[in-house]
Amino acid sequence: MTNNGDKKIGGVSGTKQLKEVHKTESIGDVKGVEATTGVSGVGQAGSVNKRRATHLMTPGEREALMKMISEEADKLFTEGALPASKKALVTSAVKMAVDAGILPPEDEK
Amino acid sequence: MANVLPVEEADQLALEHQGWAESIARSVARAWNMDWRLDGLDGAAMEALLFCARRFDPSRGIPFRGYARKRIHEASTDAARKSRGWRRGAQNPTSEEQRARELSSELFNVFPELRSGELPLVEEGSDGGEVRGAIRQLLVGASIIAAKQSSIEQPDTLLDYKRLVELMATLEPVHQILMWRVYWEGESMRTVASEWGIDELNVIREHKVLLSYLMKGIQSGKPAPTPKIRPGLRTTSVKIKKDKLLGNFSELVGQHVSGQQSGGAQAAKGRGL
Repeated sequence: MTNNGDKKIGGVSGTKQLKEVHKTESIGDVKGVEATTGVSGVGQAGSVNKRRATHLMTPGEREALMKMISEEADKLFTEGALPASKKALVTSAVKMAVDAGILPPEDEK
Repeated sequence: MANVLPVEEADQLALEHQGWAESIARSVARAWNMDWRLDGLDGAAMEALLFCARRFDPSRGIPFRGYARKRIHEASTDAARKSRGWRRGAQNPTSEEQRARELSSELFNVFPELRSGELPLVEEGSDGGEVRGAIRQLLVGASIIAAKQSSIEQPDTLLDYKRLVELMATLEPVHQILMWRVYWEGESMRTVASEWGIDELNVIREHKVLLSYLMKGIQSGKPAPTPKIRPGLRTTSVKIKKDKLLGNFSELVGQHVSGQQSGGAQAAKGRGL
């Protein structure tokens, strides 16, 4: 049934021409999934640049430090790269330099 | 602009820390077997304390003692070196104690952290722990200074350090120049860094790596793989190589070899190798 008020459609306007559909290209061969090669190994992580507290020397560890200086000097001067005749001199100098920086505990606060 | 304290407050600050500054002077005197008053270390420490108090800027957030300790220590060691007690010792340069004093005072230039009562930092995991690692660094550093002192005072005695010098000659030229300037010419690492236009930390860290290399070489009796040049020093290294500069220690060793070949031991005598 038609309604007398209806108007006749004159035409469809405003559509645009479809663009050309490009031709599809042929699909290359599908290869089978290859086996992974073995991981050669995990390298050691580089040292992290951490901020560390410095070692403050205290009178309490003075004797231990002096002993350690002598012990390390004994090791260092045995190989011959450093003259054994200078061991006492170098050891005394390091002990003096370390000792001159140690303050009594009440002054370290 | 610095926000320094008003003079009265600065003087009060100095007064509050007088005992502490005297303690620094006493520590220096004790280590060098001197009298902190007779040798004038007390006055030098007080002068430095007052100097620091008047320049102290609390707005920077650095504690006063952290700011002043190195300076007071330095003033004390300087006063000690100028004292009558030191000069008396210097009249007998063969005295082992005086030579050790001289050597230790140079050690403060290479390891300024000692002035603050701190040991040099070493890499974590150092053989035998960080304290022993720091002590080994100090011993190697002191040995290099002793070698330098020998080369100046009695060139012939540098022969005693031939292996150490040869080990240093295996380093890259830039590393040799760094070590030469710090140990032989007594320049601070800050000065070297600023002349090379790089951050001071680059020089400080490289110096630690070099000491560690030398230590390994000394202990094993043969050179370890030579340390790589860190990125911060590469531009300087390229310039040095472009100028075809040999390292200073390579030159020393070269002079020794040419001296031997020509039979001219005298030629090498001037530099002790």
